[in-house]
Amino acid sequence: MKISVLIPCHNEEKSIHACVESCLSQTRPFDQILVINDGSTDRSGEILALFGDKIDVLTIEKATGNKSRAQEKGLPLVTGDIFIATDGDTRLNSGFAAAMEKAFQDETVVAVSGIVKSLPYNWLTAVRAFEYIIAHYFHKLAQSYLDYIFVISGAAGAFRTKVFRDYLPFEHDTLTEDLDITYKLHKLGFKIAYTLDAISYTQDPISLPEYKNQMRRWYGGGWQSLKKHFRVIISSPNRALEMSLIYIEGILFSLFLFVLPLVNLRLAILFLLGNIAFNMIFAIAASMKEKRYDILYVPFIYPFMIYVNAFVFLEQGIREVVLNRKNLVWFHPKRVNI
Amino acid sequence: MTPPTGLTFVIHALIVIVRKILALFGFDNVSAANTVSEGQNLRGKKHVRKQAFFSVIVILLVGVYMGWIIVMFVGRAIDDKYANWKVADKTAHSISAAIQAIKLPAPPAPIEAAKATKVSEDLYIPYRFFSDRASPYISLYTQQFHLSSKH
Repeated sequence: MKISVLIPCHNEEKSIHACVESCLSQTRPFDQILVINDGSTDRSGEILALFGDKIDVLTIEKATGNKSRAQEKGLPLVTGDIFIATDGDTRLNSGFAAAMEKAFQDETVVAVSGIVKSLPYNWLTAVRAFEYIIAHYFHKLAQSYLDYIFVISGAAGAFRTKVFRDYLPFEHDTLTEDLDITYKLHKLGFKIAYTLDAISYTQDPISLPEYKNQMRRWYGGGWQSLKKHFRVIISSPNRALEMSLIYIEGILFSLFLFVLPLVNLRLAILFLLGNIAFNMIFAIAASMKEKRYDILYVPFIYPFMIYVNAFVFLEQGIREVVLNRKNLVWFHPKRVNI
Repeated sequence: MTPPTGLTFVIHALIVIVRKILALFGFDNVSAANTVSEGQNLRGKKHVRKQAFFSVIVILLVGVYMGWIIVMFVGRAIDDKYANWKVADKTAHSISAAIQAIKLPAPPAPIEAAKATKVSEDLYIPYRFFSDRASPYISLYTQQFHLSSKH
């Protein structure tokens, strides 16, 4: 089984070196490392040239504008039976390729989702690290047991190349290409596996405006994909359960967060204190597991972040579904040396 | 990224915990029935309709359940501040009245059910055999238990 890794890269001079290094230091070496230099105007091209013939580089002179367009340009050049889709700001753990290879031993598996962890930088990346732990070790693990992986992480996904080429055309009509692809796989009835051993470490937003922009893209893309693939939800009770849990409770819980302080401030404060106590249990466990002690103060910030998430979720729902104002503008976060 | 949720997290956590416990006892290869590589859309219209029917039922159940919990919680929160409003109580009463208004037919007695479905009396022989013979023993046992428990 040959494995390629496909890395779109647009102005990633601060992170692309570490990304390629992580691909080169795998316990099971990749058969091809293909980087799409998507119209970078910084030193990304120079840095990629340092790797010589260890990697393949496709240079696109004019930036395509978003990740899925760059992936589309690179896909015809992929030589592996399996390809891993990751990002230029991401580092893979040394066992990533081996874990993916193991998951694809099952012939019926068409795609595999690994997990994402946040590189430490400041309080926001600590919040994101906490969210990822809850998302991967509870939500996604339960989804895999229900046989309905909601989304194959864009930074840690792997696909059978032939199936991808034959069945999954890039359509660029949503902000979340990974979610769009996952819906299509479910629609076609293809099997998606989940592995906790393939880990990618990614750079997350480091300021609140960037965080909000990223959440706008994720939630906005989520609503776009839901509208586009609505019928897939009623194609099986498992999917219906999962999607109604995510979206029905998402709406009700977000509304509840804003209504509760208006009707009873005392109860709202009690609820948030309970939330802090509840999250503290998970924060202690997570910080011990990850050996990241910045996660310990996340429960005290998290009530505020829940409100940010709830606001963006409802805002994007109204924008995309009620007002039907589709946003397809990709946002590029600021990169730092981590 | 999952939107802000509370119950979903609890349900997912329970699924993970139950699955981990099952794995401890060796039941770790349980896989859902609809993971097929050939594609669900190849299974025919009847199957698709059946799946859609159950999916809609699931969505309605989840929606009603979650809506109910959140409405009651917010209702209690309002009542806590404005005691004379009684939002939660009024909501609960109106829903329970609506449920009670649905008249379900009483279940028929076993022998009547047999007559109604025109099932042969012979089919009830095993039932009679056991019920006729078992009841004296059951009453004897309960009597003894009653006596022994008195001592």
